[in-house]
Amino acid sequence: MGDPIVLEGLTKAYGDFVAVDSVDMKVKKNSFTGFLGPNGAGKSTTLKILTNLTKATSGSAYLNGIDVTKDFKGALANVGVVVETPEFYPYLTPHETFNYIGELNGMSKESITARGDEILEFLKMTENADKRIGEFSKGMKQRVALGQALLVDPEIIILDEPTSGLDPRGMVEMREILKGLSTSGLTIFMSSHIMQEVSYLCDHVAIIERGKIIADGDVKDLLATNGMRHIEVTTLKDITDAHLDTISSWSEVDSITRLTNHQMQIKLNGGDSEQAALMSKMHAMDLGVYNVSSQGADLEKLYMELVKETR
Amino acid sequence: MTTTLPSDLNQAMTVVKYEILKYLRGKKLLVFLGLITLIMVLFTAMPYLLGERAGLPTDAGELMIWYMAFIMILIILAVTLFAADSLASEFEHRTGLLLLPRPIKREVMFAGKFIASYLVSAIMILIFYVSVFVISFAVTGEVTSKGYTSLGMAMLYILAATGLGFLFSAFMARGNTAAILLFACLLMIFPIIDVVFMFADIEPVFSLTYNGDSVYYALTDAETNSDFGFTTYVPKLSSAAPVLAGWAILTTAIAAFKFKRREF
Repeated sequence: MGDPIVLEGLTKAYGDFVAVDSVDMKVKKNSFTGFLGPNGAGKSTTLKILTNLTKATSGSAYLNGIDVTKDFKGALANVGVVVETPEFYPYLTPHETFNYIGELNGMSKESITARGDEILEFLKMTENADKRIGEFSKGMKQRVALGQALLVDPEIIILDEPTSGLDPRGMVEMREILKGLSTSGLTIFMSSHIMQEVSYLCDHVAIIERGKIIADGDVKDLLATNGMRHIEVTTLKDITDAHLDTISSWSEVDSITRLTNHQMQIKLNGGDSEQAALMSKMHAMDLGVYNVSSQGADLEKLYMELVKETR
Repeated sequence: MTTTLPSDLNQAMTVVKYEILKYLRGKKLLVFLGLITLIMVLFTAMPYLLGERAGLPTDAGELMIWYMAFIMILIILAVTLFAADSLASEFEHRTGLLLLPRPIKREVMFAGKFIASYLVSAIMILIFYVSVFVISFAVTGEVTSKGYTSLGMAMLYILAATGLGFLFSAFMARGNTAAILLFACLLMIFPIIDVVFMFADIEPVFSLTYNGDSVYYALTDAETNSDFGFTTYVPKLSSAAPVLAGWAILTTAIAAFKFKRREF
């Protein structure tokens, strides 16, 4: 079976304004793919086309091999969706909301109940299962939103800014829930503005700017390809100018900055194998390297390098 | 999990079920039931309280006319409360983001919402009619056949007015705007246009509200006349029914088309 999400020449125009411009893209099976881009770049429009909230002007968007622009019922049958921050019918409880969604998807009452209870437990919402959603906080509503997306036991989950509008604690809790899903064999496609979130959750990333995909692939590969891989090295011995000159002459190193007498930041040329070679050489220098850490801001730097402006 | 999607009809019935649950758990239904009760109590007690009559009319036809004085406003209120914000609220309150990405056709969701709105409005008005029928039977020992004709026309007028409500709801960003527009059109704007046509000595045969008035006129023996220097037209049941059906079909079709194409 091919990639679960495939976009081919996907275009959405509003008059002269082209929000999504001939996008070609594939999301790999079982990947957690982050979809990044500045405001107005076309992220939400792309996701809305995928979820039948907006019609494409041209092109195709396949979910599990079915073109959503031609057969949205078939395409969305096995997909869970959380677009922005959906509101719920305040007069329904989470159980009743799951019943509504489940019945529309053809699930039996028994399977809705069993699956619903399992999901509510996973989301730590069991004790609120029979309270009306109108009384819920935004964070609780977002958990129910994720719950309804998981209800049909989908192969694909599409998330549009899932932590948007949540307070810091709500964000952290939602991220942990999403992290838990990342190992469950699902294919997750998530748009987000929050680089830290994407770095933490995603193994793949696609960046869209002015309606066009400008980078797409494995996060590590993208960082390596674009010379954006940074490490911080901490040593027992003082880092001298001679050390810096030697290290900067190595082919694995793009640039080097001394942070303190015992700490330096190295921008790598290449990926894992280059980093391994660099480590061997540094150990041979007898600097007393006792800590090496990858910097979380790498993806942000890549993003800032690639995306020059918003529109 | 592999499941077979339900038929369009089953999905529409699911939407009907949860839409009706919305009304059952909301305040609008209680408010409307309270209003019906108030009208029934006031109209029953008034003849005795004012002392102008020796009680309620003893003729079944007159008694029906007595109670139906506000039937047109009740119908307009019902469709305003139960139809006008049905579609717009999905976009305004973002609840559409929950259901519209599900594997259900927009027109199926539209049908479910329309049926639920119509059923609730129709049942509310039916409760009013049945209450009057019961009082009529208790007071006069019979129910005039004109009452049943009026009820039939009321059901048809509710259908057409619900169609207009859904039309406004499909186009408007806010449910309240659609509700105000619907209420103003049915209560003021369309009737004013009707009167303007009558002053020009043209029967507004095409008008929703003119033909809707047949709900009340069905209870009377009123006919088109020129007693006051200009012609006062009274809709004929034979022409009012197809015109109301036409309004229902046209407005519902346009509303469904717009809802299907409306984007978030």
